[in-house]
Amino acid sequence: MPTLGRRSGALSLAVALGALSAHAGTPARVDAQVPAQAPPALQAAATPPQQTSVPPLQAPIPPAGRLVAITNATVLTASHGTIERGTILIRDGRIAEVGTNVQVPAGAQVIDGTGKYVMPGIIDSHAHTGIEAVNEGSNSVTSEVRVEDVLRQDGGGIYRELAGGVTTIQVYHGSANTIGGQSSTLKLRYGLPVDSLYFQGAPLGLKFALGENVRQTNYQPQPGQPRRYPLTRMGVEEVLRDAFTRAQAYRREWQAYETARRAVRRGQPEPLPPRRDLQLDPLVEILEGRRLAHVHAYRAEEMLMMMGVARDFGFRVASFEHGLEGYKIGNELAAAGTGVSTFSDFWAYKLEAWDAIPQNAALMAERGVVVSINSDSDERSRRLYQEAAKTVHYGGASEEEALRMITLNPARQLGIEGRTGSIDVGKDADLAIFNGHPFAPGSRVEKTLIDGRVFFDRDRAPTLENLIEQMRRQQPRQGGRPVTSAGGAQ
Amino acid sequence: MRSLPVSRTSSILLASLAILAGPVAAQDGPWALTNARINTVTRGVIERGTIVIRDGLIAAVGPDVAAPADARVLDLTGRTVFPAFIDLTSSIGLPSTPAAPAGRPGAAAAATSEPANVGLEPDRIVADELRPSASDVQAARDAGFGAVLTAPSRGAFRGLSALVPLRDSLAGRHVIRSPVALHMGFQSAQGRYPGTLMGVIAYERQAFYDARRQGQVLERYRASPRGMERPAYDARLNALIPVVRGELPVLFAASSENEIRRALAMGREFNLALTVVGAAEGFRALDALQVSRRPVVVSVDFPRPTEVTGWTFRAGQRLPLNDSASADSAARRVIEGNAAALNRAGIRFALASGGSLRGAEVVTNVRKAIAAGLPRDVALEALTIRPAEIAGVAEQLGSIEVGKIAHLVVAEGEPLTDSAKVRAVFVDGVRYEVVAPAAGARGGARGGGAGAAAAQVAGTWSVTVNTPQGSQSMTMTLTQDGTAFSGTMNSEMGTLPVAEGQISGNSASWSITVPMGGQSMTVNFRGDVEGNRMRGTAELGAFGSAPFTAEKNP
Amino acid sequence: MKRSLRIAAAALVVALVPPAHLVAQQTVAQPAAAVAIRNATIVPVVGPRVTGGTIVLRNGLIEAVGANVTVPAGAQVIDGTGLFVYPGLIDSGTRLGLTEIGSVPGGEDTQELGDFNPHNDALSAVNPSSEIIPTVRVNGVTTAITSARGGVIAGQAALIDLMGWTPQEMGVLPRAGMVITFPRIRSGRRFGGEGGQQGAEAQAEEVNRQTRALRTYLTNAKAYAEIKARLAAGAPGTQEVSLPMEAMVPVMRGESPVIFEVETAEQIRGALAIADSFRLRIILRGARFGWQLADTLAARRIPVIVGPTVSSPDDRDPYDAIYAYPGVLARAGVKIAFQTDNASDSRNLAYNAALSTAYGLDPEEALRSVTINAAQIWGVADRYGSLEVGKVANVIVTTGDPLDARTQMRHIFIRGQAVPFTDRHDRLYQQFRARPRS
Repeated sequence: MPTLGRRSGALSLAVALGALSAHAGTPARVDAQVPAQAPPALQAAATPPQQTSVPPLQAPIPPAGRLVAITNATVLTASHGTIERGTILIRDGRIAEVGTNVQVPAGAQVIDGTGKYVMPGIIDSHAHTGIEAVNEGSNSVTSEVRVEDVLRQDGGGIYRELAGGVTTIQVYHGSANTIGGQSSTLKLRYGLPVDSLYFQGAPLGLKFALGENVRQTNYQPQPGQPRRYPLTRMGVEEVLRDAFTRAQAYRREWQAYETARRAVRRGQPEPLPPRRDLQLDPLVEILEGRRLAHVHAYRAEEMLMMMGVARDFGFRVASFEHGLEGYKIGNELAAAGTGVSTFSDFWAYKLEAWDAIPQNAALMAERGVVVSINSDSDERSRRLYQEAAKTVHYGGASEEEALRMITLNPARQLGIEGRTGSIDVGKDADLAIFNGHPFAPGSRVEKTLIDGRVFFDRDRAPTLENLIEQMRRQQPRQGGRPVTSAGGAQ
Repeated sequence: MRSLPVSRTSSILLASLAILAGPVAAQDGPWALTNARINTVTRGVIERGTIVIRDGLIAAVGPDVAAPADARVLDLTGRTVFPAFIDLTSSIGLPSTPAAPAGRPGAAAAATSEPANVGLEPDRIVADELRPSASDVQAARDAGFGAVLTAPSRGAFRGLSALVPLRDSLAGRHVIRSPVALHMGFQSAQGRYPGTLMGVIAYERQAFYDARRQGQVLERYRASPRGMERPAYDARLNALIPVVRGELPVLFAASSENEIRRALAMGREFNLALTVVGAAEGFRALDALQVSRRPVVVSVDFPRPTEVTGWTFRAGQRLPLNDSASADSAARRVIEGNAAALNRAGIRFALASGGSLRGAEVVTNVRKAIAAGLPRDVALEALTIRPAEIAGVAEQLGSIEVGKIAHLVVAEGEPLTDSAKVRAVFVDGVRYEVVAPAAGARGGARGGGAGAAAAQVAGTWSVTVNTPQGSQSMTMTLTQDGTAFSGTMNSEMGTLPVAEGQISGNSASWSITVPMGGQSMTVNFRGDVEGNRMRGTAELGAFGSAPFTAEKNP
Repeated sequence: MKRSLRIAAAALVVALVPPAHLVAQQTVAQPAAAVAIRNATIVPVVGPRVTGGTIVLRNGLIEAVGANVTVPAGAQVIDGTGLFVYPGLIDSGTRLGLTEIGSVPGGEDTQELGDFNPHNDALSAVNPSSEIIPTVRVNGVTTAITSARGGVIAGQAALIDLMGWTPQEMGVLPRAGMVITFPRIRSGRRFGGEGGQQGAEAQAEEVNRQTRALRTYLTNAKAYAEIKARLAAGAPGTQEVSLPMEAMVPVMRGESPVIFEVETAEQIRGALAIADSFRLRIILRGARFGWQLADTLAARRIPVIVGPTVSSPDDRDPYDAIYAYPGVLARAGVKIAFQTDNASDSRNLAYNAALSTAYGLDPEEALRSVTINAAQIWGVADRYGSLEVGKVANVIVTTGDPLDARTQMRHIFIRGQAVPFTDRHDRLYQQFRARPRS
């Protein structure tokens, strides 16, 4: 039976059950083994940091960003260069001041940025995070479905994106059909209910898709189930033109109804309104420029086709998503004012990605196309800063340009550049604080703020280091070789 | 039938003829239930009173009612009588939704190449399809249920429900009310549009817009058809017109927080008379439910903690090690406290089975809800008068009042207490005796295995651990769910959660983690349960083990 | 010859000679006697950096390297001012040469049918003309392990240099290790869901069955090897040749290591138990939860191929688990080397390691884990993995740290031959860069 050490304030259960071996100096071995011989005398051990207890099924909600200052950091503004030893003052969720001579008022929550880099919160302009369904692929045209109807606020994917410095995401319907569904722009306010995730005032969007996914050429249909039209790229064009033609007719119907209604005289019956068609409503909004068209496309000819359709029907494609062959038609894209949201270097996974090159982004940018780098994947979303760095490597984009590809450029493509995407007075305080330049190896996110609230803080986050430390504390050990602790990371 | 003193045989004969001839009539003649403690639900408790049942209805109730001469008298001294429960979430009598598309009985079976419409049938009349199994009826009735609202359990537009009494040989003509409501949900169709939740919501919204317009078009056509293009005949659209006018209520199956909000949003968009059914996460959407000012049907088919919205928020928190067990019990408490939370928020609700739980399990779970803070009388109302109100039959059912249908439970003990035992259930005035199951069996929780042989450890125990340093006393309070249990151990160290409580046959095992100034130690207990006693061993990590005994407080 | 005929002949010759950039495996014309990179920062990996140093490559080997190296006469001299010289990077797990366009089955040789295919050797299926290989080597990866996956035993992995006219020429180790995947739960949700309890039990039973099948297979292989040895020593009798069993013989004798694909701590323990039962030499690959057994692995000197770090942890794991586990292993004393488990993504090998340096992996160790550690694990440290005299001249000349995504490659040598920067991507880039602006 182990010997008991003296302990002030003896707890009777502890006495009855025996003493714990506690040797604050020697970290225990990480892996669980059968414990060895008699433990040494008890020593007073340090108490762990107090965990504010969170009720079950909730997440801790950060306090509102009433008055926050990030001081003495390297500020990468994305819009007007880099400010060394700069301070950012945040008031009521907005950036109030940025510069080297900012006075920090009393009562401000101060985040010491010495040695840190602050950049605008990353905007991932192509995500499928936080939704309970991705593809209503049963019919070719399903513009009536809305991603906002299936949002879910508690996914781990959202948290991990915050941990990668992402503050805003554009959530899209998938690419299973030609006209997929209405998109949603969100801020990653983790822990709050779904209604609080919306990016208030962001423009409306509709997702289109062209190419192999839509044609379903990369998988076999179920036995007994016929293939869904269209099978060819020509068919895809036909579906688009047909849908917009119907939308034009629908619009004329409603205009005629409005005219007739206004012309009704007293005593005459009011005309019956036409059928309200939820599928055609968003297409009419696109025709009238009140909704942005975002089009998943890979090949140059299908992008040209889509721009032709847009021209014929009188609207502009806001962005091509992926656009891996965009570098071939930089002239046309720039002339049309259409942006491209693409991967840095992902290729070779299907035929339409065979001509993809990692210099795509830089080459298009050279031609004046607004280019952003996106993830299309929860996993890639959390390291978009490294993806953007690759555009410096391939094609020689400048670091400033590369930074804009994950901040100001996606903001422009989504129509939210007035509110976010750079560190400018008046914009939302959506910021990511790194322990080094975001493009340097060895850099990671320390804090992520949205509207001035800290939604991710590595000091409070569940990390592997922290888990190992906990396991070590729970399995006190004696002897064994002193391991240079896994808890002593940078 | 007149209450003439005739011989028993002839009264039975007359009763049988009456059934063949005309309206539904009680079989066993008039009843007088005397000397009972009567909980009327709406008019208070009568300590000792009499209920007279005649023609399937409550003819009289009160402390001074005399038993009529032609009535069979039941002396219910020591027994309680309360209204039979009403479950609004049943699918009794309907075929279980097939995995492959298949038509409903009577409809042409769809060929596999044709898209099926299962789940997209707002015009499906449940009352026309009833074919209930006797065991289903009995299982619900034996737990104290007298009537259920039956509707298909999956789909977007599921059909028009019927309120049916739980009598043997239940047939369409016994239906109490049909249609009660249009039942809706968020499940997609098989192999066709809409295939996802997104599609279902869009489909439902489009259907409502179309129904609204169809209503206007039909009105205009009926008023003056000349010169007007004839509107297409569409049975499904026509069935939706009263819904979109608010004349026919909607019962919308929505369980998670987001489902509740989505359902309420649809109700607002189209001004539907919408009632949320399920609401297992109602505690996460109290604001929306309060604002809607509509009652809610709350299922007691508790989801597992890992399935509830918010469980995965753990991904963003530093948590103590091995804390999933205590987080699990903490979450369970919140989940079981759902109804109590709605009650505190001033929301009116009915309790319901949720569609999958068998009768006895429902009562068990209602008791858990009560243990979690729901007042017992509110729970009783939620099983009786509230569902009657929601189903539009408050004038006929849900309480013991003169003129209402005689749906009653005769029980030992107060309703919804641990000691309550249902002895008989009256449905439409017909008495069904309940053969009591073995004491202690709880109907078998899902996923468990030990059945009637599982040891029962719920309750409060005094535990004594005998270490060489002396014996140490603790109290332990446990609740049990099938073969798992949880609770707390109290001592001078404070209150510690019981983790990983498991029953296997007669043995019980669990652990506690004792924090001690920055360190902690896990103590594992394993013991054999014999009735109210337990004995076994406590493992103290590196420091060996110590025997323990425990005795449960009666 | 008449002038017009001469011109025509010249044109014909030009037309017939394939343009240099179309030959994926092109090497430059026979270089000068030696190549020297002068006045650069030399990073040998096994020793301290040398600023203003020189490295000389000749006959496919490193002839000299250091501070005071004389450039031999006639050498092709590259000015290394402002540049850095590193050993070529080694990717310890890829499918290079065995896959091309993922969605086109004709080019996919990464997974065979059946569970037990020890006699499948990856090397002979490697396509030296894969378009992917040049795109990888221009980012500094000069050597890689490539193998099939799937089943229980997938066959022999090969260590290849990313240059050569034939697979055999590319091969450094035709048989680098036997790929075995520890049985695992293939699908199904971990929490609740339909079938919860029963589903989990059924899956556990299936994993047990597969583990027993693997043990049985190894037992049979051991018996086969013993009989073969006895017969070879002169004992009478015959043994029917079984190709799969023949392939297992060097593994059972401990001559060829097993590359054990594992993930959870339970699988790792299972792999260690099998290694003990059959006295196998094992290298763990993947081992995402290896951090739970870091000390055991270090004590037993079991190397671990870590990565890819471009992968998501489960919801119940800490958010940085995948990034941080290589560092945990390294600090405990485990020898680690990185893999990308990919082909087109193999060029991102160094960036995988870079992500780990942000979460606890020492940058020097990270560099070792894509150079010398890999060479040591694969048993070729006498020839690869560092800048030392006598080693194979796999050398990269860069503008900075290869782990930094902004760094450019300026020169790459594989076996002393210069790698042309004319991969598919560069060709398309140049072609469309030249498109006139409208």
